[in-house]
Amino acid sequence: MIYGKLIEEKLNKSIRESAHELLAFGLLLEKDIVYRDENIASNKWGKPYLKDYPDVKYSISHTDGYIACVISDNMPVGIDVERIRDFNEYAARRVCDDAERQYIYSSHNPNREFFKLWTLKESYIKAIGKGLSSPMKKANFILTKDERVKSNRLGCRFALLEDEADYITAVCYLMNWRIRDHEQLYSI
Amino acid sequence: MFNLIIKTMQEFVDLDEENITEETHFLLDLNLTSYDIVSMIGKLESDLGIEISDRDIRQLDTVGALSKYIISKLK
Repeated sequence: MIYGKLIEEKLNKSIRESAHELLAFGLLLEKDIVYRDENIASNKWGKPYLKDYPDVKYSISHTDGYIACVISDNMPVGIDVERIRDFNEYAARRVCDDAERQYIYSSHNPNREFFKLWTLKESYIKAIGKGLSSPMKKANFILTKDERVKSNRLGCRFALLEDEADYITAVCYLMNWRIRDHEQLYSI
Repeated sequence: MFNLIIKTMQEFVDLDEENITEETHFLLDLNLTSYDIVSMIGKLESDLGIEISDRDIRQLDTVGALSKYIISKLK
């Protein structure tokens, strides 16, 4: 299940803590797991997992004013949320191919379209668990007029959520993949 | 190079440069996001005419590590 929540500006805790609280809520609701009692381990790229519940996959994300998480049974998953703001050309050149940049600049709202592509790419690299060491430029997307997401990443399902006007959330599920020893992806 | 990295970071995020050392970690100490890091790397590539591979980014987690890496690329 996917969870998302707007966060008030003045909090007495960090947004990262709030995101972990949202995850704790979801784990308790869906799995009867008390997150604060669990041992958290990380793969060699830094992606965390529950040591005693290796089949419970989750991902969290936070941005200025919004937190989100996703929990999945066995299926590797990644989530990213971003506040829509002015994007910079350096990031666009580094992660988008020519067709994607053309799509962004010819759209009515380049900032929104850039962050749709950014969150989709980020959700993918978080799902495969390799962080920024995985080339974001190779995960390419076409956003159709009827709001479908087409991707060159086989075996992945993507969801793009725009529940809040100023935020974009993307989720990637690796449908036909599992993770061996928390690191090695293999096809099923 | 150390100062150039700080100046570049400041184009994308608010930072107090007084507290930054070679050991300062981009994620753990400065709370930079992936987007901040990619923006900074992209700007440094553009300004210096170098290429920083995705494979190497993971190792470049401190200001000092990135500084040394860029100097080696420029030689």
